[in-house]
Amino acid sequence: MPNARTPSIHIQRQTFHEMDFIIKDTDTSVANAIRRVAIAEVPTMAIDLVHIQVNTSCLHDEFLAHRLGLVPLTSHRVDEFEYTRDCPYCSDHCLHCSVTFSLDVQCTTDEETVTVTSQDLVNSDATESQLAASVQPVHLSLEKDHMESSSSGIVLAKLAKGQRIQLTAIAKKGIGKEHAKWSPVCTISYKTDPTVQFDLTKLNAVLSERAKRALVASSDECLAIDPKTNQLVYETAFIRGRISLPLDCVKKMTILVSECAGDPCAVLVYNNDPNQFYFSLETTGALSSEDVLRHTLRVVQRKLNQLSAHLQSTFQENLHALF
Amino acid sequence: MESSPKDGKVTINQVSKNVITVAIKGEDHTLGNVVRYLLLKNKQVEFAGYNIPHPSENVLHLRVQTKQDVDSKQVLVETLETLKIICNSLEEKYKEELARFMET
Repeated sequence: MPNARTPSIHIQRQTFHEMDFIIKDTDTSVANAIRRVAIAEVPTMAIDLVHIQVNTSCLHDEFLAHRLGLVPLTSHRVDEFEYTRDCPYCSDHCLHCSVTFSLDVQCTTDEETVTVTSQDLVNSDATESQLAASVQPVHLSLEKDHMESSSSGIVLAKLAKGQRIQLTAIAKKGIGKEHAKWSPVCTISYKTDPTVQFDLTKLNAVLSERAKRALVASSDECLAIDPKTNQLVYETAFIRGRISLPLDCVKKMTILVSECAGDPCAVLVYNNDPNQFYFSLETTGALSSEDVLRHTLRVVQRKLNQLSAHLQSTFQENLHALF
Repeated sequence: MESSPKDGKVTINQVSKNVITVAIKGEDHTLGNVVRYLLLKNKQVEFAGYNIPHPSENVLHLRVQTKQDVDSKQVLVETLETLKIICNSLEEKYKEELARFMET
């Protein structure tokens, strides 16, 4: 096979919600495909249909339905669900393709408003099927927040005395391409090594105080001076790969280092491997970070298999027509 | 999202043996860009490019032009096979890496 350069992967940090990993020996197009698929084509469960029985709150029905849709639902068994539109078991929706939640909250006291949260959503199918019971709202995305926060769950609405919300919500399987509520990731991004950077230890050794300040001034906020040590340091934005050193700054550095009788070439560091991608991924809580990547890679494979099957069958069909 | 090969997902406009334009329904930059990249790396390909003629129509046009006497269809099929290999190996390596990471 020509050009079958196989990428390698290295995990740096992984928790349920976040993962940092490096993909090496590949191209931007591959890295971008992974990012795009994770955002838009990994299936999860989300509330899609809301029947409102009573709504005397100050929020109108559509507003409430939209908020319900955005609540992440645990989707680790999403593969066992069917898409409602091609469910072979039913014509509307059933336990194989949907999960029903109900919510009924009323405010009776005068003193305080009642907060309706994701914790008021009751899974009505939980007793009937284990699969349905696996789908539950994600109340707070981070465990850390659970400890620190006094609230519990995602706020959906607030009710004053006499107000009531009663509804049934139906969750279905879907992908982020259709609506962002089905996207399993909050953010997924990648960066490469900066094309040009400075060797700061060498630079700090060579430059005078005045020269350092001059360099910082022309660095477009890539560099800063650490007030404690009086040394040059990189700003976070540069480390994160959001900004890069401007050409003017590199020129300035050459002049300043030459003035201080140093070798500018020794200070410059070029990126010699542009095919290394530092990914960082954060999930909504619907899937664990490792599952998101696993599903992503599988979706890409499925796409490819499908496309090559389609292509080959079309080529076969056209064979006689063309020649 | 699943579709059978009979859905007419792919339509072909073959100009000559070595020049082909394929219209693919339901695909976008995700696949278009990777396939184009791999096609361009192939020495037998003279030109490869993709575009999405209209943003609200879910169709991708992929054009492949190979050197004389080379079958562009064959090259396209081979490219997809290469891409499959890349993805398979990436998945394998991810599994290994995950197992290694969990141990430490």
